[in-house]
This record gives sequence, structure tokens and C-alpha cells, in this order.
Amino acid sequence: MKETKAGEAPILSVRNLRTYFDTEYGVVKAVDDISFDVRKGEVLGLVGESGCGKSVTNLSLLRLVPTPPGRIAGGQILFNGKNLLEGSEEDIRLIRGANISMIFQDPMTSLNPLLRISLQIAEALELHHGLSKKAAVAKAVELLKAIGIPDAESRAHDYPHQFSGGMRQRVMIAMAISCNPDILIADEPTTALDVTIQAQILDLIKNLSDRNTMSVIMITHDLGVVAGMCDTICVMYAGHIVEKAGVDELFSDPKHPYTRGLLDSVPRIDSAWRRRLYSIPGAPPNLVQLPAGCPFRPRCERVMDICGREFPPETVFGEAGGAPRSVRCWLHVPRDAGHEVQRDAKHE
Amino acid sequence: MHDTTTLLEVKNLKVHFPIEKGILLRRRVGWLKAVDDISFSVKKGEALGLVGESGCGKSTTAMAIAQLQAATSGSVLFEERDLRALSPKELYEARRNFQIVFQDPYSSLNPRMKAADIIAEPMRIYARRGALDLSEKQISEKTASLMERVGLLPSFAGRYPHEFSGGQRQRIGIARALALEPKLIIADEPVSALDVSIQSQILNLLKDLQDEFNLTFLFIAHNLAVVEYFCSRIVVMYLGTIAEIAESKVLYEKPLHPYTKALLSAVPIPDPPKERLRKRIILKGDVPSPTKERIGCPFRERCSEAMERCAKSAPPLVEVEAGHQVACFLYE
Repeated sequence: MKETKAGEAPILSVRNLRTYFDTEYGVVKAVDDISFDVRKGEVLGLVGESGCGKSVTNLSLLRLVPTPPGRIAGGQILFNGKNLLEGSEEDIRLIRGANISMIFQDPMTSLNPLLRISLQIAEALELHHGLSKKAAVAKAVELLKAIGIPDAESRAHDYPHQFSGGMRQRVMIAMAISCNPDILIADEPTTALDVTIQAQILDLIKNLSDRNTMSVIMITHDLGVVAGMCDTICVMYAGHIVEKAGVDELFSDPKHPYTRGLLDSVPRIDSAWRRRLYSIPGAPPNLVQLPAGCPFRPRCERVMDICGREFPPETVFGEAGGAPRSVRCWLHVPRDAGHEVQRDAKHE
Repeated sequence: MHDTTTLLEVKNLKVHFPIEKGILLRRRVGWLKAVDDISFSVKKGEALGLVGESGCGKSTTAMAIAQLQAATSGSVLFEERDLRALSPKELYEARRNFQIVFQDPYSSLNPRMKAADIIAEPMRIYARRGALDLSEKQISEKTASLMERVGLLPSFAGRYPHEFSGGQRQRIGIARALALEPKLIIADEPVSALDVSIQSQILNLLKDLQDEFNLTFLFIAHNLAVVEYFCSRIVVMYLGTIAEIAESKVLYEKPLHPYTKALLSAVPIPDPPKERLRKRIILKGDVPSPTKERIGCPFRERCSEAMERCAKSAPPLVEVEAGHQVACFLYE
């Protein structure tokens, strides 16, 4: 494990971010009051099932949420102390690709099919670093070599369809790291890939992060991927971060019933033989009709009366192992937090 | 638990697709060998897993077994009868014994049909042709009990597929596959489109159904952890050929083929301390194109153990221990 980065000031701070979508069925609170920090060189994992808001969170970071119907309804995104939600469109464009860049899940649809690979990589270099086209293309070839494209000089001038899925994802990574960003956002970077190719790509991202002390925000639903890649993990459910912890603490001692349920429901190749998998009952909620109180309540085995009334506050634990740890669950709200009265009153 | 009679036997199955060029005068310029001479058998009551990466031919194998894809050569013996040799009428009767659960619960259900009608359709088709002796009333009752069995509320009967979540749709697909009380279920990536928490629900449901109805499964998946959980034996495919066959416990504890080793080492384990200590075999490059004419072992370009002879001829699948077959010269 890398040394702890807890002492350092975060380079990215998300504070009370809310991203809402106005739909004909009502307001969908895709991201509802989430806060997290990313430190230099840290690999942060955002984990959750489909519809939990993990991708919207990341689109919000770069102000890429389609508006309308989406809108950022509140909060702050502080990058090196500057609020990204405030500047003009031109300001954020200078950040995108240069300081914070992104790789998308689907390398097939995220590349321009009509443009040669070299030119697509060169584009960001011309824009942000002011390189000439020739110099930018030369740098692109260099990048392709660095990420392990064989025969890079000639392959650079191919079109995306001539590349395999794994190679296209490498190209996406080359584009994303071309301007030495401080933060790389990887949105399910290996979901579309085979497992042996996934291992190659994760290895590459990890090496790049270590070598360039680049921070990575890794969005995934795969707990195995998170275990090997991340330093810190935020578990999301229905637009909220329900648990935040260092990777070791999260896996060895999950506090939120949802986290525990998720960990127990993943089949793993090293498991005790023929153990029956746990399954969380029900399905992830529809964000238009969220139940009152804790959104996980209808699926939770340890539900209490108070869960139906109020969304649990964030309970922060000591900074064990350097990573901040917190959970949003009534089970962990300390007895003297003022909510106790309500909880007991119901039981009498 | 299961007896040792063979339910399905695949012998020297080949599925080759012609590659054609030209617009007016189309001529064949080569073959894409999606499945190239594979043999394996499925015993009654077992769950056999077919794993491999995309393009390895696992789905084509399944479709060729189900007679939804014409094979080039070889035989598919179901209860000792070659399905490829049956007349259309005989095949139609045989089909009720093997049903399929598809990968994508979105596109494999007719959006214009109600859930109950989707589940009842196989029974109605067979009843109409006189092959199934059930009245419409009995079919409705059976549909209701199937829905209950797979965990769908009776009130869902009149709903259309778009009103269901992915997991519920997959339950409809499973109920439909069970409707004719088949002996074999071919499940082609039945959980890969589902969320983690739903995936375990469906896997557990399939496991319960297997025990309850003494079903035999041919389970196709790319997720090795899922296959390990569900299957008692596993066939590892690579580029249209079989690399290794073993009981799942043996395969995971003692893989022999270099490809199986790499594949297993690439599967992430949700356990951070363990994951940090693991040595990962990172394979170089991609799976080669199946259109390329090749001699020798299909895995040799990516294999760390490749020898001279690997380029000369393809290693045959040989049994190294009882029930453990591998196609690699290292174990000859």
C-alpha cells in the first residue's frame, strides 16, 4: 500500500454536491448532497449499482451533465481551492483534459470513428499545450508507445475501428494522460473488456498513477477491481454516499448493511467451497419515488423505526489508517447525538 | 448427487463461417473458425460451465447445440440421438427438452406481450400442436405457479416487459425456459447484464431450481467467479478450441493450461490484502483474429511457456488425471 496521504491537503474537494434532473415524472435527485476529498496520488473508488449516481457525480465534476434536463442544484467542487461550479464555460474548458481528464466506459463510442488515432490524441495537446500539429502527433506516438501499443509509429495513423477493444481503451487512456492531468476520472474503464485485458488496463492505470502521482477517481460496480486498485472507497446508494472508508477497513469491517450485503453477494474464486451467496432482497430503488428516510430501508435487514422517518446523518469515525471513515446509517449514530429520544420514544 | 449418465455429448463440433468478398460476384476468401473441433459431454444433473473471453466461441457452441446455428460438422448427441440428423418435426419434439435462458433480459422478451403470455407461450405452442396435453386453464395455472416459483408476484401477470426491472425480466425468461419442463437448460450469460445484488438473487434462484427439478445446466459465462459458484465442471475455451476441462474445484486450485492460469490470475478478488500479494500473469496483446489461418497451438503467441513444437502442431486435448483434460504440450 502506498503511504498515507491523510496529512496532505486535498486537491479536489466536493462539498454537498447535488445534481438533479427535471423529468416529466418529477425531480430525480441523481446526486443528493455528497462530499468527498481526493488527495494527490490517491486512488478513490466510487462503488455502487446502476442508478446510484456514480457516473452523474463524475460528469458533475467536469460540468458535463446535460442541461436540461440535468442541473447542478447546489454544492461546491473545489479544485486546488477554486470552485469549478462558478467559472465560465471557457474556464472549465481549460481544466478539462488539462487538469482533470476522463476515460469513459465504452471505448467504441467515445472515439471519433472518422479521425485517425494520432489526431485524436494530438487534439488535446494542441489545445492545452499549444503544440504544433506535427509536434503534437509526435507526442501522440510517444504516448502510444508508453501505454504499450505495439508498432506505435504505424498504428498511430490507423482509425479506431482497426483497433481492438483493449487497444481502444489504451488510446482513451493515452488521450486522458496526454496533458499530465492531476486527476484522472475513470468511469467503468474495464467493464466492456475481457478479464485478461482488464488486468492489462488496470495495471497500466495503476502504474501511471504511481509514476506521475496522478490521482484517480475510479468508478466501478466491481468490488474486486476496487480491492486491488483503490486507497479509499465511497459506496453510493440512491444518490448518497452511504459509506466512506479506506480500502482495508471497508472490506474487513463494512459498517453499512448495504456495503456488507454487497460484499457478501459477490461470488469470488477464492471463497470457501460452495458457500451460498447472500442476496440483498429487492432491487435498487426508483429515484423518482424514493421512500422517506433512508433509501436502503426497504431492502435492509436491520431496519429500525427511525429509518423510515429521517435520512441518517453522517457518523464520522476516527481517521484510522489515515483514511477518513464515515457511514450514514442509524445503527452507527452515537447514542448521545440527540436523535436517541426519537428512537426510544417509538419503542415504548 | 447426480448420476453419471450422459445427457448431452458434443463430438468434434465445428462451426465455420465463410468470409466473403466482392459485391456482385461474392467469393469465399477464408473461413472464420468460431468453433473448431470441440468435444465434451454434460452429465445428467450437473452444471457444466463454458468459460472464455469474447470471441472464444462459447456462445456459438451453445447456439450450435440448441440447433439455432447450423454446425459445419460434428455431432450433438442429446440422449444419444444426434440433433443434427433429426428431421424438422423430430427436432421440434426434441426441443422441449432443452431450453435457453438468454443473456439480455431486455431484448429476449417480446415487448408487446404480457409477462404471463410470454411464460405460457411455449406451452401454448406445444398444446396447439397436440404435443402437450394441457387445457388453457391448466396452462394458466401452471403459468401462475411458475411465476410464483421464480419470485414474481401474481399481480405482475398482466404487465409488459418494460414495466419490470432487469432482474425481474430475467426471472420471466427463466420461467419461460422452465415451462416445458426441460431436461437441459442452456444459460447464455444469464447474469452478466445484472447488478451485483441482483446477480446473486438470480444465481441462487437457478441453483434452487436445479436441485428442485433435477435440471442439467450448460452455463456460459465470462465471469469466472460466477462459473465457479454455479458449476461443478468447467470447460475453458480459447479461440474456438478447448484449452482445459476439469471439475471446478480442481480447475481453481490446480489449473494446468497456461491460459487458464492467466485467466484465473486476472480475476480480481474482493479482498485488499490478498489482492496486493497476488502475482498477476499479465498476458501480452489481444486474442488473435479467428479468421487467420493457423497451425499450432492457438494460444502460443501469448503463452509464456511456448516451445518450438507449439508452432508446428496444435496440442490435442488429453486426460492427465481422471476427469482433468488439458490441451497443452507441457503435460504430454
